[in-house]
Amino acid sequence: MAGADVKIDLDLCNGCKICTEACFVDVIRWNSEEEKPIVAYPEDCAWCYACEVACPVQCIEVVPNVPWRVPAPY
Amino acid sequence: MANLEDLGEVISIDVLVVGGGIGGSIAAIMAKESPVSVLVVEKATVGWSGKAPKGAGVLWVMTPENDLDKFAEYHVKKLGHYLNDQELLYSFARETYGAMDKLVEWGVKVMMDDKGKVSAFKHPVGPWSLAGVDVDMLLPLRARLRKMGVKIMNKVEVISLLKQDDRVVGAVGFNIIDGRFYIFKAKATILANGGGSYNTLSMWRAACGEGITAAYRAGAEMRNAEFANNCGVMRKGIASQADFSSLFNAKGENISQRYLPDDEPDVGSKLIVGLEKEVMEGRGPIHEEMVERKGGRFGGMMRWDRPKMASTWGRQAAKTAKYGASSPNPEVIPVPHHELTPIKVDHNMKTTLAGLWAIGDTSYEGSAWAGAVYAPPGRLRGSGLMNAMLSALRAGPAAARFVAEASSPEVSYAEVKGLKEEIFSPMRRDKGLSPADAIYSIQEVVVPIKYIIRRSKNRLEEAISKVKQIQQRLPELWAKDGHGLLRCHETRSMAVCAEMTFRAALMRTESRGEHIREDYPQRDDKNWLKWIVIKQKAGEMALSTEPIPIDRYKFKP
Repeated sequence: MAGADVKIDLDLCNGCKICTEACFVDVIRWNSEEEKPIVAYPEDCAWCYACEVACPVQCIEVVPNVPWRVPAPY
Repeated sequence: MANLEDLGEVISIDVLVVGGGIGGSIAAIMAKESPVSVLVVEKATVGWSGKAPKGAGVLWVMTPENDLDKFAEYHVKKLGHYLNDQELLYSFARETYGAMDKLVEWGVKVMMDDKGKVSAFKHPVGPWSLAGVDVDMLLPLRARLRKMGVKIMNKVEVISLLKQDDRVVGAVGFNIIDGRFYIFKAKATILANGGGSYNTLSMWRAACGEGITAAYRAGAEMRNAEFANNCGVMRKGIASQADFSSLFNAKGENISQRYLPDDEPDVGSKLIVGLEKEVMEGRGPIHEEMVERKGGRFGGMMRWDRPKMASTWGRQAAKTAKYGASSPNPEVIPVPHHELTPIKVDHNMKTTLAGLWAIGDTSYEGSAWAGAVYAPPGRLRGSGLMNAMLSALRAGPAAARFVAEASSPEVSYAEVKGLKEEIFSPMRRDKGLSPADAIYSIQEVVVPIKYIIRRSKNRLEEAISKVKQIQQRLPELWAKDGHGLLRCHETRSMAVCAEMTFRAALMRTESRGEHIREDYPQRDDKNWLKWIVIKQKAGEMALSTEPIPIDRYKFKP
């Protein structure tokens, strides 16, 4: 695990909520007052880029917090 | 008078499907073909969850041109090493091609050939074929679920099963956003919430075996837990998957060739042990080199037009190029993704508990059709998706048939009250052990090759001791919100999964298939044509064996 900097351009965002659905590990939540996504748990991002690929207006950029942190295998 | 409704929201349903990935979605569709109410409860979002949208979109199939007997023989002799339930192997293999038609019927983008038939490519090494779907396959399934009137609850994590004597009568869980507690009273429950992995790699990040450990605590039997040591090779740093057939040591020697002969259908423990050996003997680090391969094991064989696949994998490649190592030959390390899939089921995916079925990754090894190999994919790529589908096609109708005869569930107030307190206990602390730290310490036991792949009595006992020590600290886990609470329960589940795998590995005193014991390097058919079964007895993990009915089977050692 390592997390990522999940950048969402809220000006471009069209409020479709697809990013909150596409994330399978609950990184992105929804702010229903502002009708915008919140990157609530970026430390849990698994670098799958599903949110970035799914966004219809391409306003998300996931910058992985390299290196992926996992114990040494040997 | 104490009311269940005072504890949380009570939802009564005929069929409860826990987990809404490809297996859960298909099981729900199949159950709903009968006049029953169906609810899918998913911790993320149905249509996007689980591994299916993140993988290669490839399915193992047996086309009319493939020979069933040749396949079964190959599997039993080279993959399952006689630990297969050969009856289920055959009956599943017979159903794969027809199952693809169901996907077409449901609106999934299945790759078709120019004759209007399901497109399938013969595997370059083994006697089977591969079919393809685009990676957004869950969205048409979701549309179908909605159209059929299947209820869906997203962002709800199921933690424990409810029992009425020996029957499973539902489950309890919570909404990870608003913390609401739910009590599901169900006549039939289908577990479809994935295998037991340890957050080591991207696609395997979501499922932490919560359904498996819930079933275990409810008294269900597990089987083949030792075969949970799938290990991939990843490019260090960026963590993208490397090509296991293109690995070289520091001297420029092709070690994929050295440890994995060309006639092997997939990566295996022998290669992983080989990587370790190369490095320990001073010929590391290992790197990946793009080599020209005649046909290759998978490269270039499948020419399908899959727009979603292209954009997903294209993005992965772009990230690797941008954030990965600058070298054209990046360093590669093995990283296990395990995963444990042990719920013991019969040929209809029914567990050893009344009222409970288990499908897909919850029971792939538990059903025993794959034998002595970590499954999914069991060195049979594309069989993860296909197993999810075939198991769902059986469990959905079986659960619906059970509902027709089943009495209404009675759920105990006292049981639910106790479970609710236990489930929310991490939130009554404001400090303690963080899930991230606990998960890393579990990874320190399940990642090293010397524990999980290259097994021995001493090291397995050491691994079990470390896991038990971690388990003792888990009551200190704390969370401040629903997300953290979910992570706490995922962590608890991981610790039980690790114990199952290591205990079963310790018991099997032979080497067979993907279970390698340095201290017992030979296969021992005289003593070990048996499955190892795990069951909770008086709070402890009890192991026993079950003889394989090899006399009933076609292929004998």
